[in-house]
Amino acid sequence: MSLPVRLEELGFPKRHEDWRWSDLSAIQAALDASPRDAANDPAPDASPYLIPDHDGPLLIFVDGRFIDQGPTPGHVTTEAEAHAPERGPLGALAARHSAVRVTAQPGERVHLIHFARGGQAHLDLHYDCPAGEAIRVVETYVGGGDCWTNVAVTANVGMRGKVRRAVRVLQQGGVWTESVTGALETAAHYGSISMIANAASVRSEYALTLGDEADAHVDGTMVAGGKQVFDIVGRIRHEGVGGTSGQTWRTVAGDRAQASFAGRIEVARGAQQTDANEDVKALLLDRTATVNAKPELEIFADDVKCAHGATVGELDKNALFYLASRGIPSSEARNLLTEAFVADAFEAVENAELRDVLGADARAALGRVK
Amino acid sequence: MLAINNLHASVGDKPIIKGLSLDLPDGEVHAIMGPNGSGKSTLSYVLAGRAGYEVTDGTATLDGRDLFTMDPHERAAAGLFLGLQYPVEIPGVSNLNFLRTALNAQRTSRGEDTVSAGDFMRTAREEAEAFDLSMDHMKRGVNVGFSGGEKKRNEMVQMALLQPKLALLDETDSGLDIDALRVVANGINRMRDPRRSFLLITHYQRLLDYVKPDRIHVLQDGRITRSGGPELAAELEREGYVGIAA
Ligand SMILES: Nc1ncnc2c1ncn2[C@@H]1O[C@H](COP(=O)(O)OP(=O)(O)O)[C@@H](O)[C@H]1O
Ligand SMILES: [Mg+2]
Repeated sequence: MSLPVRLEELGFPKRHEDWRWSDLSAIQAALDASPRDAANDPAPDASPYLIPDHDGPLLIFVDGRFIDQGPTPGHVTTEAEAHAPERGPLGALAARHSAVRVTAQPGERVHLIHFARGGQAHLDLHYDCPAGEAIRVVETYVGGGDCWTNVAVTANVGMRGKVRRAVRVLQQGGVWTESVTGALETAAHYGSISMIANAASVRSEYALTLGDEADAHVDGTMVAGGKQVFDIVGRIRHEGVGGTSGQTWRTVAGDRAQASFAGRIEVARGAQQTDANEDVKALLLDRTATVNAKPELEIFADDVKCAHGATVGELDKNALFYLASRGIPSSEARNLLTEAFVADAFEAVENAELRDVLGADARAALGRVK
Repeated sequence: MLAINNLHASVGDKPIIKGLSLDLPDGEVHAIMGPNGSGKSTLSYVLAGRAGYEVTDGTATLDGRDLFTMDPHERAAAGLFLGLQYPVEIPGVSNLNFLRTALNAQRTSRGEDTVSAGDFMRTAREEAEAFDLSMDHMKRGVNVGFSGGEKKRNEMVQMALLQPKLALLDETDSGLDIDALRVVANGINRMRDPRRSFLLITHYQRLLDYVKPDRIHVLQDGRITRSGGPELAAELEREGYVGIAA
């Protein structure tokens, strides 16, 4: 199937509420980029992005193509051209145009590194986790230029299964989009933590449906500066009894950046004892930056706990003075406080190496937006 | 050590310190006592350089160096320490990280070597113990989940690690039970040194029963209305501030 060449072909809604904070116009530059002949490209160097002590399969992709790097990548399978059901324009595009479909098998930690070198790249990732099993994946997106990386994720988590995803969006410039669709059976868990920085434009959509006692946590940090535009559009739907969910996002925005979060919690009729929480905090480094936060609740059960809090603020002046009074110069004090602010979103990461890597990603990103 | 001459300072447009002079020689301990709202905390903030506290007249020098031309962090590196009346909570920055960053920032600014991780941990552990704080307190976010008394003792741990020349302690004694007060007083007494001075800002005589000051100054409405020896504290306790006004 031929790749789209014009922004209008992509089928993005024009006046849809869920799209009003996204600006994906930079995709056009990626569509214009002529298809590259990658035959003579040097092999990408993944070493700067590795996670210490990671011993599972490492999958390297360049512009959406799988680069076979020797040993069979464990239980991961990659196959050409597959089709997923339609699920919004981004997901449909990924399913239609992805060169491979990646299916992670349970039991291993997988690290997927995608290098964008220009043009459009579509990835179709499937995390089908059988009952009682666990899938852990780290996805690292790097590269840059006039590129558009579009990722679709399908997570089907069986009874008491666990899917854990860490997503590092470190691509220098270009557009990065993802659409996550998840279905969680009884007592299943889906947890993701995202570190979003560097790309010119980002849109992350997720729609998760939870059965009885299922638990979903979608957390992340956005670090936006310059004229970056980041948009998170989330929907967590509780259909079973006793489900829990959390969405914790920390945003730092400086210069003329715009970072938005719209998180919807739906509690279906009969989904009693649901406990859903949204915790969104943003830090404005400059008055010229924009942060949008929109929680939305749609509740059709009466015995539920749904909490949401959204705050936008600046660095605490009392804390800044306290640090200064102890001899810490103001630039260093600001760094300490800003890092502490974003680190909040990584607290839940159990793997210490991964937590450190995310912390280092955040520090590097913060260094760039100041 | 500290010389304040005819200091006038405002918060917003409101004059709070109205012509205050004070001379604190090397190695001495002075106390400033005064009723609520008399400007005690304002004086400490002005000396430490907090934004929003504007000096409109007068001078203050630390070892002959003009404090008011220095940024707050430079004043700290020059040897000034302010123990806050209301220590601030900083979630996400561990107490240990805060202290090591502060210590090394001061040392770097003075052209000294940074402290090694091992040496730092040893001293931090010792001082935490001396002021009855656990290592858990040291690993937690700065003052996060600390009781009022723990926050004050944490100020003392910081003072002990930073080894300032001049310590301004703003009501470090308030909110402490008698055991904690003794712990704090012992800490101050242990640090008394011919080359270090203390300015104890306090509301009550209590602390001065344990830390004998060389002089006591009474602050009322932004001015020092009386100065005297340690016996002044007892007089104040008896007569109250109104009775003592000169
Ligand atoms: N940030 C501020 N804004 C406005 N007024 C202030 C501020 N800080 C102090 N003041 C005023 O200055 C006066 C002295 O306050 P303060 O220095 O805190 O007194 P003390 O520490 O002796 O109790 C009070 O009248 C108080 O209301
Ligand atoms: Mg006070």
